[in-house]
Amino acid sequence: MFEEPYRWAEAVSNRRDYLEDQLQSGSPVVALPCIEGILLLSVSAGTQKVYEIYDRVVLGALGHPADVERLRNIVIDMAHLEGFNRSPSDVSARRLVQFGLAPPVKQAFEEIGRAPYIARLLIAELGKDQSRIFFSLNYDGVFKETHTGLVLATPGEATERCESALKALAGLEDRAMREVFAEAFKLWGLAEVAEEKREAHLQDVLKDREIEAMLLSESVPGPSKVRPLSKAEITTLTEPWRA
Amino acid sequence: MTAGNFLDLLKQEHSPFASVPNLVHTASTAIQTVLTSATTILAFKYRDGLLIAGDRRATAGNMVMYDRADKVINIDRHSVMAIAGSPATAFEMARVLSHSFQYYRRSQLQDLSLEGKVRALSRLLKENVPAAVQGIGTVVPLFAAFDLESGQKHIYFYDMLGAEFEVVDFATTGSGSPGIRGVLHFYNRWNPEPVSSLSQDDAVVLAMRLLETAAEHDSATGGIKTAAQVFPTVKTITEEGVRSLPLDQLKSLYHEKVENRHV
Repeated sequence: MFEEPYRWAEAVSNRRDYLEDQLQSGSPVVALPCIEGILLLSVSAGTQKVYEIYDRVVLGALGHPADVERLRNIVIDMAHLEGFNRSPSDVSARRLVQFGLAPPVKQAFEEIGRAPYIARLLIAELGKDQSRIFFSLNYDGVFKETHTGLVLATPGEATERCESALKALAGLEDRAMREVFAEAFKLWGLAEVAEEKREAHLQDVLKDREIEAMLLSESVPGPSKVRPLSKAEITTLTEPWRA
Repeated sequence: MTAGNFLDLLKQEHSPFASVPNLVHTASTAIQTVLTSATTILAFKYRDGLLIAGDRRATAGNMVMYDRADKVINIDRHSVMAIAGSPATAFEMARVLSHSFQYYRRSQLQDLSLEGKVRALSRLLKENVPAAVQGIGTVVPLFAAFDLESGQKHIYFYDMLGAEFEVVDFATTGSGSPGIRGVLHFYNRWNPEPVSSLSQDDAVVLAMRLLETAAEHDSATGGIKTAAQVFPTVKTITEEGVRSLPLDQLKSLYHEKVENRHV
């Protein structure tokens, strides 16, 4: 059926449309640098959206929970085997994305007879030199690296809105987590709705959905530098929208 | 799919660390190699948490191989393993445990229960039996943990075969332990206050006095060398997590309350 190149290309194109359609209902994920390290934020309707992967690596995902789970397990296995067989210092987001995640995601996307991963991922790492690295991984295996933060939004307009808003936010790495949390929450809102509807939407979200946030910070004791923010902290940080 | 079991993942990936080699030797080919070993380690419950301490010496036969070994190892934020026996095997067990607990927590999105952690160490010891009975790689550890779920402090000691035993107040192990086990019992039974009532500073002082006592009678236990700045490894576990006592604090308490007799 797909032996002709044209049919194969058409099938891939169809599956791209299918995936983008499937991802439209996903909840965005935001990762921003802050003076403490990296803040990762999302809003869930029940299923967890942000995860600790290794001592200095976190993951956020948008997509089908079962596919996210499969990819999360791949990257957790790889990170722990690497950390054990070599050293925790050898576990890096770059290697996890480039060699662990991107190849199987691309393969699944292009093998027409096989189900693709309905997922887009965000991976962030706080380096020992305090560098902040962010990767996005698309459902087709394409990945991008950035150092200024990342918003994983649904494809199309929302992504464009967030990219330009993120560009306008300069010097986040010098701002305290408390301030950056507010920026992250606003970016999350912008990834969901247009700017004029954002404030009302954020207020509504707080009524029936749960905010998840993780901080990657050198100040966390022990080898793992990941600290999930408590419900009490999140309640305080979202006070301006709870009026 | 390993359901959060890191040891199974290592085996699935054919990692050379997946298990301790199952050596085959007969009595006539008994190993002549002198292995690095020996220790005194102790753990007890004090007023605010758990204290685990160990001397720093590693020996091979009657040779002192190293005087700065850390035998009290953080496994995760609320548990510590202290090792007596062969460091080569024991350090590897500690590494496997540490990765296993983190792997479970991250992959299964929940902490492994304390019972699960205690059994994981037991399993490693059982897998090490073939090596241990042939005279290499014997490990007799202590495991101490603060259980966040129940808010309780727990100390376990193990035998070489992997059986675990939970103690009420304290545990000691290693070649120097017989000398201080009795002292701890005496202290706990007839001192005006039992070890479980001690403040942290008093608990640290007691631990250093016990380790110095052990070193006095056991050549395989290292004493405290102030000139070389060799002090025992002392860690506490409280609800806030594991804390290694800094050298300055140990030095100060040692000079104040251990070195001098009348305090």
